Amino acid sequence: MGSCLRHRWSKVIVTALCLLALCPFSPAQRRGSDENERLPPREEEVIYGRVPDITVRTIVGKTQRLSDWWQKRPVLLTFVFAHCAGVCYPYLNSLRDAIRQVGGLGSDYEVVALSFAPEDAPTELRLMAEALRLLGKERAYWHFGVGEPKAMERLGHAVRFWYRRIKGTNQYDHPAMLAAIKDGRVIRLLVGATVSPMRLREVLQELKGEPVLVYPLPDARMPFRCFRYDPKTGAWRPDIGLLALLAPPLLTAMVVLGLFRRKAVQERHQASEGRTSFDR
Amino acid sequence: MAEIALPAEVEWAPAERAAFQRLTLAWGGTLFVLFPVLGLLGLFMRLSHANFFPDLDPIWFYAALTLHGVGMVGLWFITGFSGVLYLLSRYVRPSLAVSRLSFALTLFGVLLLVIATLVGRFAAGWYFLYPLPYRSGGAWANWATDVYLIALAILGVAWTLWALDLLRAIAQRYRLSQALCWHFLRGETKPEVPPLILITTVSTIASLTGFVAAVILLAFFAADRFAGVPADPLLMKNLVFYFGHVLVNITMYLGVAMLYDVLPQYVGRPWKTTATTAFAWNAVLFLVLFAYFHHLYMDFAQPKAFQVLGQVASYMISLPAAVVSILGTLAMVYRTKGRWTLASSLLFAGTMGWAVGGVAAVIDSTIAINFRFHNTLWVPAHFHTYFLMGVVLMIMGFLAHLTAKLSGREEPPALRRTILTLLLVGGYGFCSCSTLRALTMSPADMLPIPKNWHKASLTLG
Repeated sequence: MGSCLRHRWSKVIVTALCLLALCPFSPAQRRGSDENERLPPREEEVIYGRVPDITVRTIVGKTQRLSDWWQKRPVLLTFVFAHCAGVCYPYLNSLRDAIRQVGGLGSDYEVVALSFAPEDAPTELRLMAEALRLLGKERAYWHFGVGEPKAMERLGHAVRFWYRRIKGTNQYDHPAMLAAIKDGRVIRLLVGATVSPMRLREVLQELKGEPVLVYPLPDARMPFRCFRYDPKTGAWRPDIGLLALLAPPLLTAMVVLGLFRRKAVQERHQASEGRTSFDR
Repeated sequence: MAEIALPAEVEWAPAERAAFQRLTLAWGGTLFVLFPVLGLLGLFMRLSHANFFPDLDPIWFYAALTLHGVGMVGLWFITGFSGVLYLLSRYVRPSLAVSRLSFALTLFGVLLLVIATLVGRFAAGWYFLYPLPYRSGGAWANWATDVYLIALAILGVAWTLWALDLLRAIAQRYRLSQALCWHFLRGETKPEVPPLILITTVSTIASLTGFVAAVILLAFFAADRFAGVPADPLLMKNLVFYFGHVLVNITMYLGVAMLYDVLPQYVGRPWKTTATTAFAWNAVLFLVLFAYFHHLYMDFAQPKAFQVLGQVASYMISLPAAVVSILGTLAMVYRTKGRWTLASSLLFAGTMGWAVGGVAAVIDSTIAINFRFHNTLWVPAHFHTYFLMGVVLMIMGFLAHLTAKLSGREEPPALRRTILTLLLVGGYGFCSCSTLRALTMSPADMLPIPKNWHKASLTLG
């Protein structure tokens, strides 16, 4: 009986030790590390970093370098793949709509959409471009192309773009993102499945070296504000909070005049006393 | 030592005079205790940049940044103020009781700052930009913010009382127009007013405006904390920099006031108030209220006119005070067989350091350049240059002057040369490292990002 119990306990302990030993390779552990790798790209890690000048085969049959575009004007670089059943198409539509709303395509920047899938050929990517239904004028400034896998890997690393093949499918897991590139350097990253015109406008302002507007969100409970700012028009008008900025000099002036007034009164008093005694 | 300044006109009882000297030395002693400690926090931050503590929670970097920033600025302000008070006591009669009260309140305030940052891990920076202090995402507790703001309130009360008392003392002898030397602008030279009175009056009035801004700022924080009334972040940022920028500027001017009063005693030439000096310092009083806008170049909900005003005021403010004082110093020592003691050498070196750091500051206040330099090491580089190699040397020069005068001893020349060499080589070496690094870095790439904040930003984003 006792030996049987000891035997059972030893089995439990051995099993527990085995489980513990396997812990680092457990699914939970793997999931944790994968999750870290699959975080959205962090802009602060790449900002002002150089982008490798890779060679791209475009859907119009040209072979050119990325610098051929960014030497003319800044580039909005995005990554897609032709057979994407997920975010790529809605993302490109969203980017196209935002660009139409914000403007500046062709004059201030161009768009380069590169496929990261090694199996994609320019011909397949052409279908993707057609599905986007770009207008004639827009087509000249939207460039679709594919790069060599190794070069794409270097490019992806420079802007922290990552992708993973989903097993048993022809699909990839990847973030939807845009890298704003000027003179071969990353100026901004815009990460997210949809492109908000307001965020895109900020990116374009930075590309032009213009300031990016920061303003507090409207809050009805906020009684004192310096200015009312309209983010759509960029117009502002003064508000009552501005008085709080005038208060320090005004209050100080009152206090200082009060402090020094005594001396002036004293002098006047002495002067009048002197006059009185002289008169006598 | 030649008595070059205007003759003393205030008689103090020996006991009062001794008490004043003791208090000034106490401020000086506090400086020599706190300065190395706060300096070590700076060293800790630079080592963090160099990844010496990879496993340390980055929040400690920001807690150290907060204490280092607020501590250094406050420390040199109060030492400068106490020094100027001592020098002024020859001409006017400030209250000893108010000075003692300010000293006690300041020590208490500093203690609270240490608790808020090193115990409570309050890490919003000295500028504690709204709404971060009470919305830290769990990085520190709200009580730490309470303690930090209470500490600032106590320091504010102490220094406001001090400033008011000083103005009261000046007002007992001079009319406002005399203290600000407006009669010099009209071409009159009587009554003679020492430049020390002029600069101190200007500095104290300007510092009072900063303290009022701080009171309004704290009131908004209290309304948010206790009544749930949100404040306008842009308004809060304006108030923070109104207060902060003015305080730093005034600290510089306190050092310059010492220069005007002490250096002539070593070079044997009087530094008298002239119409130019009067104009320069009155212009400072006006311009110092607007220069702070250069801290808000990135806030473009603010009208462009304010940004332009910030640049123009920043350029113009460097002309009257800096050029008049710096050229005045050069003219004063030119072809003069002055006595180059530790005190006079430090005052001279501080003035030149102010010029070097001032140029870097003016560069940074240029809107087009600020877009590139914002959040790079250029910012700490330039203010460390004009602060460490400017006002710090000036105030140390004053302390050397005071201790030499009270002890009646002359420092050994070898010791003087060693101290000066170490200060100049170490100081400029330190500042140059940051300046050169600034030219090769991208904005904010020296800042560690607390893990929790990144997760929080993802959640919010």
